[in-house]
Amino acid sequence: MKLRFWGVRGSIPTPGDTTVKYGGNTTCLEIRGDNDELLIIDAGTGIKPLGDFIMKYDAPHNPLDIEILLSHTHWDHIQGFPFFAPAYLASSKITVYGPVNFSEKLEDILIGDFNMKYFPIRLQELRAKIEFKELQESTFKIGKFNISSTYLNHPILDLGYRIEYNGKIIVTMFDTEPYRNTFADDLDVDDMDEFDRQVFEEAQDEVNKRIAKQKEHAQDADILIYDSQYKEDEYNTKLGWGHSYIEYAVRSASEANVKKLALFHHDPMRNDRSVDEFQNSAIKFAKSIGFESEIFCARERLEVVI
Amino acid sequence: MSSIHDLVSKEIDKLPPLPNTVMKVVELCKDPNLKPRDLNKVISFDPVLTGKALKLINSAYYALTEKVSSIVRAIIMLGFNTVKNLALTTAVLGQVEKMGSIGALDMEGFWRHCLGVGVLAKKIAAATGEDPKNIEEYFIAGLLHDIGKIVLNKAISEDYLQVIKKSDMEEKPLIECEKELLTIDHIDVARNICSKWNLSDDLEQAILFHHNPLECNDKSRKVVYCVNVANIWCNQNSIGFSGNMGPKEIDKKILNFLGISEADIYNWENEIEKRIRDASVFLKIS
Repeated sequence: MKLRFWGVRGSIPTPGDTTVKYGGNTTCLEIRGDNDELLIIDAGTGIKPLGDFIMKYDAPHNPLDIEILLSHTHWDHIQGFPFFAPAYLASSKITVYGPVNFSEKLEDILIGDFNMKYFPIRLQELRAKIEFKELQESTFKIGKFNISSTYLNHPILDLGYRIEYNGKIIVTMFDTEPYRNTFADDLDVDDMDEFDRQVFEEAQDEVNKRIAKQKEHAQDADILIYDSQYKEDEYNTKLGWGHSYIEYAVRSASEANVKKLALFHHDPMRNDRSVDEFQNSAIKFAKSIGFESEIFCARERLEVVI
Repeated sequence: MSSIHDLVSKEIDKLPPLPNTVMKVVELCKDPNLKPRDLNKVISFDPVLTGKALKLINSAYYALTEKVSSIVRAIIMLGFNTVKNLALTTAVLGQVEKMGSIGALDMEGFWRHCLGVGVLAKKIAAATGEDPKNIEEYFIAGLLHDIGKIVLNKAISEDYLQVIKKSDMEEKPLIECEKELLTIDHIDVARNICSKWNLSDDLEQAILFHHNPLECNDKSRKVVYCVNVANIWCNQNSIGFSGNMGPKEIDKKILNFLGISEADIYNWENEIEKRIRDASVFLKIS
């Protein structure tokens, strides 16, 4: 399997001369099976150059049959879709998967991208045959890719994917932050009444279950791509924003026996130099806890052979 | 002419939450600093809102591998915003359906009964050493145990008034009067609700066997017994009003199984009343 990063930035595209090394496009990953089968994760602005690449590399040979798995539908993960060139080819077939909440439809959310006030083309006018599939926690197959999806911890429903192909495993876990017991907020844990104590204990039990499930999701991955928007001290002021920090990413990778860790979803405030520093901090932290697998900050166009 | 079964069946999806809960959910959800603790509190004070929220949480929308039996767990698992939106939707939709419904049971008294049974079932579970992380389910089981009555009360209110009168005049268990006059009882209705609402096994057993606790599944025995004892005690001691004017006695075998006595329960009376009072204040009920 091959993995290529086309967008590694979180929140908002960040072009400019201080982000040339890691790139400024928002999230998009290209995954290829051994026979070049294509799977795309997320449709942030990185899907624009990926679409252009597909037009040159794949389109001249066969009609395109493209599967896109969305982690979730926040803007930075779908905003590139209207600029995805294969969607304008009548011969293309595109299937978009993603999680939605009660009573929502994935298609309706994506239509927002194509509102005439924001963009001059309507979703219905795209020439490709496009299908939308709402996705939950589940296990399914796309061609030879065996995929399982798990809910992550973000302000809206968000899925991490575990993609297995010929014995190799790629795992994505973004956007997410560590599960924590939100029922303890504003309470003194050592001085609760019986009612609050019971609720707290139940919530803690669920937190522990979710943490175990996340570990299982990443277990023995050949590569784990993990939300690492912050450092721990920054994260402490951003609880509930739905993003993680490098120390937690490293610890999660270590506990799940991951072979390679890609730090991902870089904060738009971070320039190349500070992303470099992030990488060094993560490696240093990994050493301090005895985790010896390769760690790097994901960067645009980087290809990793799994 | 529609049969009682048809009328009841149609009514299940239209059950309204309490107007006060709806107002409180709407009010709380406007607050950007709302805490999960407060949202959980308001949902868990209302049997219909709790049941419907759990129904949605356990529905195909989320396809969770394990059924969720409490709002607390759902908030951790699916996130606060998801559950908040779901509660708001459930509450507001229910409010629209509520228009013009007049029932035979006084809903405020009935609500106090449900809450009392929930609080007491939870208290008994705690006293018998149940793990704190499982205790919320006892409360929810108690809260939901009489859910079938809400449907009967709404679907066939005139007939149900006669059932309540009969129970009062003859001092006979309400469930027997239901069967005699309506041919169905609130357990039959609840069976239908449980299958539609996709509740966890423990909740379903507590709802279906709170009048015949010895017949429940072994796995759910404790929760069923706690709800059975709490229900009879609240009826005997007029904690709220469930329409049942001829409650049975608490079975000594069940008290022995739980390792508690009726005297223990009397010691908790103040606490149960305080919990109901706190909930009333929170929901701004008189």
